[in-house]
Amino acid sequence: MSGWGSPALRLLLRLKLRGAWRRQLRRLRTPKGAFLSLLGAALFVLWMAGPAFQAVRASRTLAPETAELRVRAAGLLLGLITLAGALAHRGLFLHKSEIERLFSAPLSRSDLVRYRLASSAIRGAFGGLILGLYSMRNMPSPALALAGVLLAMQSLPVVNQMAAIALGGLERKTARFLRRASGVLFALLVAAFALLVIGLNTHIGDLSSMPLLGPLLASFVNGEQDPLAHPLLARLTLPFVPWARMISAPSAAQFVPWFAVCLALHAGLVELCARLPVDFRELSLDTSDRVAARIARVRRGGGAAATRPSAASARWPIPWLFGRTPLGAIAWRKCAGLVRKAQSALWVALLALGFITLMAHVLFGGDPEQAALGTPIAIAVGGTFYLCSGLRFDFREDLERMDVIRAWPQPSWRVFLATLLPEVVLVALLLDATVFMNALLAGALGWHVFVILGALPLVVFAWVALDNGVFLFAPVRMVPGQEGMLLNVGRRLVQLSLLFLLVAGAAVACFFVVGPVWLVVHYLGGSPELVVRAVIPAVFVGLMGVDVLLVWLGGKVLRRFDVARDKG
Amino acid sequence: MSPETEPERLPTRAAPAELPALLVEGLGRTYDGTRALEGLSFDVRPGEVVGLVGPNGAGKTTALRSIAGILPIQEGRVAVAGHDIVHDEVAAKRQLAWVPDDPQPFDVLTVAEHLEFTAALYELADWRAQAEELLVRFELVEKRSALGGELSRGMRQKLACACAWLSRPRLMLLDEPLSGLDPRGIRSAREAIRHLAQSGSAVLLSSHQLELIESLAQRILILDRGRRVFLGTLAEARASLGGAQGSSLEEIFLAATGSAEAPRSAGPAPTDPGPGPG
Repeated sequence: MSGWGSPALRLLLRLKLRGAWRRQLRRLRTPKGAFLSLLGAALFVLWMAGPAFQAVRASRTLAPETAELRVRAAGLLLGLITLAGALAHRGLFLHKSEIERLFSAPLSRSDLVRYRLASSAIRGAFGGLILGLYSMRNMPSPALALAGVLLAMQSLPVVNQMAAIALGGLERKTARFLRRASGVLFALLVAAFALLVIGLNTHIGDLSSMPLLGPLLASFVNGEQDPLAHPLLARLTLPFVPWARMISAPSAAQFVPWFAVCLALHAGLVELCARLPVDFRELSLDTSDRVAARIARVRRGGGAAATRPSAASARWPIPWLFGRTPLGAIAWRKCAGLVRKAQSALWVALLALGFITLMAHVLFGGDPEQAALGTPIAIAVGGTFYLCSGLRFDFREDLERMDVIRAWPQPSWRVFLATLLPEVVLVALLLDATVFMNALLAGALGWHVFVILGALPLVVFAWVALDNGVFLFAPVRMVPGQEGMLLNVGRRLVQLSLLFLLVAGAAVACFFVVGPVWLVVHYLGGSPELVVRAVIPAVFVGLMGVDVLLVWLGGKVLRRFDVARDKG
Repeated sequence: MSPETEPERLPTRAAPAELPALLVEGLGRTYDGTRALEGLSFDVRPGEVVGLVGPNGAGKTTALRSIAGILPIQEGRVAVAGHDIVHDEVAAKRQLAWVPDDPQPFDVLTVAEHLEFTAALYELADWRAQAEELLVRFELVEKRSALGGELSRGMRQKLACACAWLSRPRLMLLDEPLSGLDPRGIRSAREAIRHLAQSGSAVLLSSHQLELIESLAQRILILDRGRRVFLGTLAEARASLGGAQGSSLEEIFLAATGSAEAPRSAGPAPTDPGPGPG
């Protein structure tokens, strides 16, 4: 071995980087891949350029003391997230494709840890760049803050790895206790969050009357107290002082000593991590398997659809909601997924709907007239976005079986429609129930609520169909931070643009219906309600037209899906 | 499953005798500038088993997937029982069944539910008795309530076969159907393929197990680099490729594809007597 770590592992790292770069280039070979990747890259550059430009032009920066408090609080938050991550990945995480080869190779465990840390450093630099660009604009010296954040973000993966190895060693002795404790802790956190949402919902007008946290939250909201200056928080964030002083330094003279301290701390942490006397091999194999399964789940679209059904659920009967026809059979297959996989996701969805309802009340709470129309629309929009991802049972989970699906003796449009129907029905039912209950409890059950209830299934179908149509056109199975990210961002942009175009098209179509009615009412006289009466059916007809068009287009895209090329 | 428990011949939908179950004409496909298939033409008659062999990357799976309507047809024409796979896609697909080399059953459906789903998808009537027979034949009775995601590689293969057999296809496309099966399963699957062909179905069977092809196939189609190298009976192969009387399919295969030193009595370069179309 020469220098830092094993030369073979350094070579492997270089080759892996080169391979990742080659794969990105390969995506650019097809016109579709090139277009979406470049679109994603352009969006990414614009996203990064915004805060950088703001930092250059920033006229108001924070005082060094305030900036330090903020950085310390952010450090505490990131530290907690890092430690929570260590609980999920015990031992040394190595990719499934390399772990057995590396564990059986003539390499020391310290070298393996250093190799892993070097891999994390590349990702840490990327994360540091994003966080640094966003946080530097209010710092006393933006350029020094960016450099500081870049260094600080290198230390986080080291802390994560150290905790993962140390906790792994501890867990082998106290495995059962830790498992039980983490389960109880998670249940307590969920219960506390649910209580907080319910409490905030019921005390939205007067926070101080809410028991326990109410007075404290009210003092923060009313600006009577700075939450960051709270003595408890000050004590908790004490270990983050060196990094906070480095990032919030107003001049190079104050920055350099703290930078040197943080650099020394980083080097010390790396060596400490590499030399921890823990045999992490068994735990690492387990972690590698679990992470591989998790990545596979994310690549199948994440959410409830990506989980595994329990063996007990095999006994639950699945209703044939759409009949025993071929369309009904395809939909039945998806219903089975909803029944057997979505139980916990449904609970999360209900909690999320409660949170969205709360936010809608916060937005429109002041004016009862605005609330009557604004709250159900906000619930409908927010709920559609959230539930269509959280309760996703669509083509993403079928990417490995597309060859079988393409061989089904059914027209493509029918396969497309039937695959999406169960998810749409479930999401629309949940949203309709939430909007209806909210309006009922608020005493605002007017005709407009029934219009929203009727339109919601059509809107949800349009969103899900568009999402799947674009996915089938460019099927990238994306894992955050991994390859395919740019292409995925580009695809999202195309999807949103298409949605905008569809809405604009539907609006223009409505205008052609409503316009003549408005002209008649305006020039010949008549009740303005006539316009409203014309708008509502026009909107429904427009939405149905959009849905039919999307089913037809979805069928076309599914028909031209190439299982040999479109592997995601 | 065992041959003793073999049910009566499986009923298949009647087809006009003169119509080939599968007709492939000039099938071609290009991936990123590489020719995966080049002007492939052949037919498979009702009740016939055609063995599809070739080295890795020869285009066997691409050919099978194109025939099954999974891959879009770039060049040429495929007709299943007289139905064009492009212009009459749904009708053509109704006549065929496809067993991939690595089946991925639906993880939320049980084994029995997979059969129920297949019956509804292919609009089969009176399928329950046959489903029971297939569960016995493919040794899935004890696994009938197991979820697809819980099955081993071999069990997944058996389930895919059971679903394919249930739809009573006029054309069965099998891509490495024996991979992952235990010796008992291999024997049973071999019997099932033989019975399927005896009941009038055409079978296009791709496998690297040349002994399986030799024992089941009436004709052999050898592909190499996307091109048809040979189509005919084993006897024709021996005559055409210069093999001695009794030379095995392995020796013929190696001679045809030039993937090893010439077999003991290898003759001149391989030629294709090509009794099929094209």
